[in-house]
Amino acid sequence: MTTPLDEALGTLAVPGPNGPTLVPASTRQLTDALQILASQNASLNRHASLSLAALSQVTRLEPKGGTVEAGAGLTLAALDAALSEQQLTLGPLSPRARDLTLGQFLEGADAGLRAIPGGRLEPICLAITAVLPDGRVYRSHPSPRSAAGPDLVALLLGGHRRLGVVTEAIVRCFPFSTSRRSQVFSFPSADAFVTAMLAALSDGVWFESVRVETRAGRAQVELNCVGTHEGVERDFNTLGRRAFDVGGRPTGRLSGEFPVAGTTPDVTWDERESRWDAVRAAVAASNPVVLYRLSIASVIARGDVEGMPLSSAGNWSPSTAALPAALDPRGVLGGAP
Amino acid sequence: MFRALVTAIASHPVGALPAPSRQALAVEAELKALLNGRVSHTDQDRLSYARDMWPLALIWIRAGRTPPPPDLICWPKSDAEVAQVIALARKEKLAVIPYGAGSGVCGGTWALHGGITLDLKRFDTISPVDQQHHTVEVGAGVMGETLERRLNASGWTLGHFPSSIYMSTVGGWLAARSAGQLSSKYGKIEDMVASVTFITGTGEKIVTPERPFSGPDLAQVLIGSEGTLGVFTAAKLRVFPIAAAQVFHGFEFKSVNDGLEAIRQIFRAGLRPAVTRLYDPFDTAIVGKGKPAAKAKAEAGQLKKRLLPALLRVVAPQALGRPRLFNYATHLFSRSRLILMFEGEPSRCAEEDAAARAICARLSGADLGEEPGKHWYAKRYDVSYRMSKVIDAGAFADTMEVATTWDKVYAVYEKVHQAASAHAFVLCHFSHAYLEGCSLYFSFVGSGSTQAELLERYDALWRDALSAAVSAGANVSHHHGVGIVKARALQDSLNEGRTLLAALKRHYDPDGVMNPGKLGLPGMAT
Repeated sequence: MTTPLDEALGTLAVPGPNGPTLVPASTRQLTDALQILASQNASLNRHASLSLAALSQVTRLEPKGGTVEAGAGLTLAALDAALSEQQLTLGPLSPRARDLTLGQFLEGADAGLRAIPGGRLEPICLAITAVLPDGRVYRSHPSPRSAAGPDLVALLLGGHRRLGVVTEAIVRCFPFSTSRRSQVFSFPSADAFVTAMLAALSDGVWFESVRVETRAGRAQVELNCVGTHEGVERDFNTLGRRAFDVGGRPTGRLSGEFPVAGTTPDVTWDERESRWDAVRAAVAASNPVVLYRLSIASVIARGDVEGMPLSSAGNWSPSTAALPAALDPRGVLGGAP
Repeated sequence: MFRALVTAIASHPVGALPAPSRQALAVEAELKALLNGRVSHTDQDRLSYARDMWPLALIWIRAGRTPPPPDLICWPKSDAEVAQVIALARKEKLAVIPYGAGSGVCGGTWALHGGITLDLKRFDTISPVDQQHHTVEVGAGVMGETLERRLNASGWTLGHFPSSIYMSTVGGWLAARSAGQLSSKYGKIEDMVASVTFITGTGEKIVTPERPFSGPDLAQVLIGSEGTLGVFTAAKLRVFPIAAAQVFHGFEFKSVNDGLEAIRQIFRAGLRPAVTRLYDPFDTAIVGKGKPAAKAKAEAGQLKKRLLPALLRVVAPQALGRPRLFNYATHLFSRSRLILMFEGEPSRCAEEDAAARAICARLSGADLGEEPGKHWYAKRYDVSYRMSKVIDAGAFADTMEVATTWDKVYAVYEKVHQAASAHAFVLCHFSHAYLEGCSLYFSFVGSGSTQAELLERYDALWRDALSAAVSAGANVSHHHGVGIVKARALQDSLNEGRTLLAALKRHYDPDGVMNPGKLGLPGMAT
């Protein structure tokens, strides 16, 4: 049965089991659709859902700075594949992140963050285009860093579409990784392992992933790095020195007993964002873990590690939770988280 | 694009400040009771807090005038006291202007509407370093150099070294999104923040969560708000072990473009020098004329000791009044000097330095050894204290820093040079490099035959230079912030983002008392 909302939306939406699904083919069409929702006193998430699948183009590549403009509906895996043809890459991502669309990665719990050398986190986007709750289109300035007032993009990253809907982004890319290397180190304790990791991150080591299992009280750690051949060599030289500083040493392979997703029901394979305290505790408890997006502030972990699940909107802090009502008084984006 | 701004602001004779407003005097007793007497309305204090280091104020001071003073200055020392001052200000419709150490160069602490200036230097605590998490908790009023010295004593560094480090506070850094000279390795201040404590214009205390958390990163929204949304009172910052080694290297390239390409390739190769500074040809000539380092140092010394003061005293008003001529002369120079410094673990520094040298060699960069970098490092804070000499000599000097992506850097350089050349002598260096681009730091020196002409030229300089930068693809500011001088440019460049900023302002400061008139946000109704 066609509702007044379906009629008003016309070709901007398709029918779905829980009401219409907006299917904009452009930022402008999303603006129009949100205006219609507002005029019908309807809101996204409650009365209609949104698919950005049609916004999946890679529109502009800028080779000097290594940036690319892409639609929010494109998956990161597809974007990375397209980039590889241009000798560029998004850099190390967690397996879960690769399956997300660019929009989901920016607006979801990942908040669009990736790890960069130096142990820091940085948004993967240099700039975004977003439709604001009042239907205006905000295009942020593509500059590597800014002191031009508050970071308004930060309102939308991790905002779960409550404060605006990202439709496109200019994405920061790394030169294509020409080298990938793994090495296993044995550390005398969980504490020694974490100390070495934090020191290596401060030094500038850029990890792809780290796998840890505990045997005979020692943390057996497989370190994986990617980058240029010279860069990876530098990273492993640094890692060797940092491991040695805390009593670590290179060793053979990890045991073949390391749990594999889907075959080990006792292990949590959901990705969660964890602090190093939690990683230290997990390793000390002999829990096998895999770490991605390693930074000094936090890591993305798989395994029996305490942390924040990345699969849900979670509970926003009280100060942040007040923002949707302030920035979207009509509630067109669905109201409070 | 940007209308004249600076000449539209009122100034007052230094010796005849307007009296504090009746509204302010009416609340003074209550404020004194709240703050245990830490309130002043003396002319000495009001004059001191009337300005920051925006050169326009220095030009006015030379002519015996001052920007508008605040009505009252107070010194709170707790979050509760800040909230109480804000509550009182809201009740009486008085402006509240947060103040660190006054080193800003954009007029961010000017009391355009009088009101209460909130000096935060009593927020002066520094916690021991949390060795597990590599963090330190710091009061917003802690001076940069004090913090760094304290951290160094226990083997740590913040890695944040703005030129103003001796006269700027943590709160000021957060308010204006500051950058330090080693930002290419350690990041800007916003990269160092784990959490901030902030009192909004409603008096609400916000302690932003540390990762991991759900929802937008509120700290990043508040950083850079320049007092317009509230007041920073503390921060938890990430710290790094003190570098065990520093490796310096200088290079000279045939052109600015070659130097820029070297920096780009260095960063795209994954190298992270702590310092990356490329001087444009005339700046290079002043630094050392491309001579061997020792000779260059001697000549630079001569230039600074003898020629520059003479130039300023005798030639400045005339010659700088004809900046086109001066700027034309810069075409005699083409070579650009690059300074790199790697710091950290010794072997890694050596490896990264070797890789950077290989890139520079491929681009025909002449290796100048370590001396140019070491010389710069030893003198890196001097520039902050030299500007007033230019102004004392009857000229003006100012700086403008913007950032853009690699594909636009040279165009921004050329366009700004072109636009500013009619009004001032122009120098530029490129620093704070990233994978995607870098910052351009312009220095302008100009003059006028009369004070009125000088101010007119200064106004035109900002209008034309910033307009050219933005038109060529740069942002409005990389690390000085916005304040008054870039306020209209910010609003123009935000486009529809203006509604987001305005909504934040309404949410956090519904009565509009927080630092009104900054960031291009509305002033207070009078």
